[in-house]
Amino acid sequence: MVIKGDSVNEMPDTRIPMIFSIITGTLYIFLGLLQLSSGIGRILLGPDVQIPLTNILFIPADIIGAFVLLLIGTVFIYGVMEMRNGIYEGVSYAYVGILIALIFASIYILVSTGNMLEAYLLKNEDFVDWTLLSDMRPGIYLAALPLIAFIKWKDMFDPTPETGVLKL
Amino acid sequence: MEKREIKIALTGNPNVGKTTLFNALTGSRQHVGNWPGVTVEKKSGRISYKEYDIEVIDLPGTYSLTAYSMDEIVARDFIIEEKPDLVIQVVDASNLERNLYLTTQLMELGSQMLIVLNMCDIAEERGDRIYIDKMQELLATPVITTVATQKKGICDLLDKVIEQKQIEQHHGHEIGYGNEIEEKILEIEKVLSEDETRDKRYPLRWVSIRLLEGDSNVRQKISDSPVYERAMAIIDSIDQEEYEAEIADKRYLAINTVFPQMCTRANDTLTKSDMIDRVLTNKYLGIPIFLALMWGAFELTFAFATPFMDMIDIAATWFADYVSSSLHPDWLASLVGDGIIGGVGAVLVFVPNIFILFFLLSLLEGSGYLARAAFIMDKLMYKIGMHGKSFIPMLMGFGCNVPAIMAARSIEDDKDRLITILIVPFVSCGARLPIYVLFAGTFFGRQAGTVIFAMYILGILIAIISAKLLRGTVVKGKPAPFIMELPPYRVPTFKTSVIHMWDNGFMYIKKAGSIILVGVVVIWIMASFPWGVEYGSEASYVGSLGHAVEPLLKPLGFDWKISVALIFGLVAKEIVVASMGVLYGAGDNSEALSERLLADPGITALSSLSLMAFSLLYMPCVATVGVIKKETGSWKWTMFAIIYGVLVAWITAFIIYQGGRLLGY
Ligand SMILES: Nc1nc2c(ncn2[C@@H]2O[C@H](COP(=O)(O)OP(=O)(O)OP(=O)(O)O)[C@@H](O)[C@H]2O)c(=O)[nH]1
Ligand SMILES: [Mg+2]
Repeated sequence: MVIKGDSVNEMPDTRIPMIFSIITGTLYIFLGLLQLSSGIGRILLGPDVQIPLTNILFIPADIIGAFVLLLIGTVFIYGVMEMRNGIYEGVSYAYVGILIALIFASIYILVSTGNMLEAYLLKNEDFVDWTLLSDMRPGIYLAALPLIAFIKWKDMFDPTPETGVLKL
Repeated sequence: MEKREIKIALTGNPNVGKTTLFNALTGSRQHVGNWPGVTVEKKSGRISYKEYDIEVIDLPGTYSLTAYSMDEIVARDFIIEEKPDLVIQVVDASNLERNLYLTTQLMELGSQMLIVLNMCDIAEERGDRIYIDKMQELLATPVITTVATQKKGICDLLDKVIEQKQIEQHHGHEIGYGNEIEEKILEIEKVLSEDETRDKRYPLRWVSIRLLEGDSNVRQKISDSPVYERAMAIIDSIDQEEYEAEIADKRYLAINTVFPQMCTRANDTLTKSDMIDRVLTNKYLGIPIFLALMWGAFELTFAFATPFMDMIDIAATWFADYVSSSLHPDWLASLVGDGIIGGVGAVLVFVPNIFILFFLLSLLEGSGYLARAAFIMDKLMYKIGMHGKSFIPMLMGFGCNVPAIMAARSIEDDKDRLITILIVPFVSCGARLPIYVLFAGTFFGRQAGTVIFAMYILGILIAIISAKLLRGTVVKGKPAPFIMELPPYRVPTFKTSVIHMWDNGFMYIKKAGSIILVGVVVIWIMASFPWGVEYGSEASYVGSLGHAVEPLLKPLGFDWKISVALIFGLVAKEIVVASMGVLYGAGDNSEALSERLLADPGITALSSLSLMAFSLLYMPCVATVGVIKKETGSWKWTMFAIIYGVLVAWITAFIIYQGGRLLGY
C-alpha cells in the first residue's frame, strides 16, 4: 500500500479513534471473558452455577458467542497497538472492528426476531416464557458504541481521492 | 423483413463485468460474482436490436491468450475457431493498464475488435481520467464506455456494434517485436504458408508468435502438418525462453508507451478495500474472523429460518391430515397423505433455510470476500498440498457441489484441479442441510446451530485431510504457487443477491416436485407391498431392503428405516429426509415429523449425529457423480470418488457412534 504524503505531519491525528478503540475493545474483551467463564462454568459445574454479574449484564452461557466478543475486542486492541506505534493505517482496525461488531449485532437481532415470531405469532410452546429481554446479550447492547461511531464517522473512513488521507 | 445476423463475443480479463454486461444485453441471469473465474463455460444469448438479430457469447475471463487453464482455452478457441463478427474486449476502466496486455494479444488474432470500458463509475469516483478519443486513435479500435451494473451505455454499444458490422474491412495495430524476432516470425510464417491444407482460421503471424513463445497447445494443433518438422527446427534453433521473455517485454513496452497518453490515474490511495484487507487478511486475525463469520452465517441459516419452517410444517401437517381423512379409497389417502405430502412436504419445510443459505452465499461472492478467504487459507492449504484457489470451489460447494466442481476449471495445474474435484463432494451442500436441520433440530434443541456448523466444519476437515492423503499417494506433486487478483470490496447489489437466492431456491423446489416426488412414490409403493402388509412395516419391500443392508450399517447406529433412507438418498440427498417423512408418516398425521423421530427408540441423539456425518460424506449425489465424470473425463477417478466417499463416511460414522458409546452417551 502506498500512501502519498510528504511527511508524517500530514497524517491526521489518530487520538480519537484510539481512545474509542481502547474503550470499546476493553469492554468487548471484559464481557467476552465473563461470558466464556459463564459458558465453561455451566459445563464444568452444572447449570445452577452463577458467575457474578452474568445476570444483570444479560450474559448467556455461550462459549462460541464469547469467542466472537473476544475476537471483536482483539481487533480493536490490535488497532490501538498499531496506532500507538505511529502506524496511521491502524485506524483500519477500528473501522473493521465497527463493521464486524455491527454484523454480529444484526445476526443476533435477526435470530431474536425469529424467536419473537415463534413466541407471539406461532405461539410455540417452547417459547411461552420468551420476552424481548430473553435474547438480550452483550453482542447486542455493546454494539451501541460501534453504531454511534459508525454514524458519526461515516465520512471519516472515506479517504479523500487526491491524497488518500482520511478526514479524521 | 428478414433480420440480419451478427455474432459478437465478450472477452476480457476475469472479473471485469463481462457477464454483467451479457445479462444487461440479453436479459439473461447468468451467474455474476465479485471474484475472478466465475464464468467457466461459454454462454450464449440473443437480442433483437433495430433490424438485427444479435447473438452474444459470454466467455470465461482470461489474462492473456496463452491458455494456461481450461477456461482460457475455451475462450481462445472460440475466438479463433468460431470467428465471431466482432470481438468485444470488456475492460475494467479502473484497472486499464493491466487489461491492455490482453488487448495486444487480441489484436494479433486479426478479428474485428471493439473495446468496452466498463466500471466507469469506479474510475470516475476515484478521480481517474481516461481520454477516449486518444485511446481510440492509439489502439485503432472503437471504444465505448459503460456501467454494466446500471445498464448505462448499452444502446451506444449496440449502435456501435451495428456500425462496425457495416464497415467490412478493418486494419488493426500490431506490435513490432524488433528485428531479430520479426525475422524469425517471417521465417516461420513462410514455412507454414507452404502447407496448403493448413487451418486458414489461424492467422499465420499469430501462430508463428505463439510458437516462438512456446505454446504447447498451438504446437499440437499444427503437429499433423507436413511442414511441422521444419517449423520446429527453427524453434529449436533459438533460445525459446529468451524469446518468450523478449516478446512479453515488447508488449509491456508498447503498453507503457501508449498508456500514459490515454489515461491519468489518481494517486494510489489508501482505499476502503485496503483498509478492510489490512484486517481481514491479517496473519493472526484473518482465519478467526473467517470462522466467526461462517459461524454467524450458519446460526442465521438455522435460527432465523425456524419460524418460517414451522409455518410450512404446520400447513403441510394440516394438509396431510385433511387429505388422509377425506380421500377414498384408503390406499389413495395413504399415497397422497403419507407418501406425497409426507415425503415432499418434509423436503419443502426446509425451503426457508435454503433461501437464506443462498442469500448469504451470494453476499459472500458479491462482496469480494470469497477471494480473500482463498488468500488467507492459502498458507494452510499449501502445507496440506492444496492450492489456495481450491478453497473457492470448496466454499461454492456450500450451495451445490455441481457448479463448485465446474468452478475448479479456473485452476491451472491439472493435479491441483483433480484433487479439488475429488474433495469438493465432501463439502456440505444445500441438499444436505435439511438432514442436519431435521436431526439437529430434533435432538439438539438450542445447540442445533452449533451442531450444524460442526457438520460443515467436519466436511471441510475431511476434504482437507483427503487432499493431504491424495497428495501423498495417488496424485503426487506440489501445488502450484498462488496467484490471484483480489478484487475490490463492493457492497453486493440487493437485486443480484435476491436473484441468486431465488434462482437457486427455486431449483430446490423444482427438485422436490420432480425427482424427489418420484423417489417418494417409489418408496411408498415399496412400503405398501406385498399386498396386505402393514404400511411401512418390516414385512414390506422396504422392510426387506432395509434389513438386507442393515448389518452393514448397524455398527453405525442405524436401523433398517434409516438404511432405506440412505439407499434412496444416493439419488439426491434430500430424499433421506423425504423418506423419513414417508416411513414415519404412518398413522396419525397431526404430529410433526420431529416428534415422531423423538418417540422412536431406534434413533438417539448419538445415532442422529452419526447419521448426519454419514449422509454428509457417503457418496456424492447422482448429479455430482455425473459432473465428476465429465470434468475428469475418467471413469477410474469417478469410481474412486464414490468408493472413497463411502469408506470415509463409514469410518467417520463408526468413530462417532462407537466412540460416543464408549464415552457413555
Ligand atoms: N461498480 C461497478 N461494478 C460492476 C460493473 N460491472 C460489473 N460489476 C461488478 O463486477 C463484478 C464482476 O462481474 P462479472 O460480470 O461476474 O465479471 P466477469 O467478467 O463475468 O468475471 P469472470 O466470469 O470471472 O471472468 C460483480 O460484482 C459485478 O457486480 C460496473 O459497471 N460498475
Ligand atoms: Mg463471467
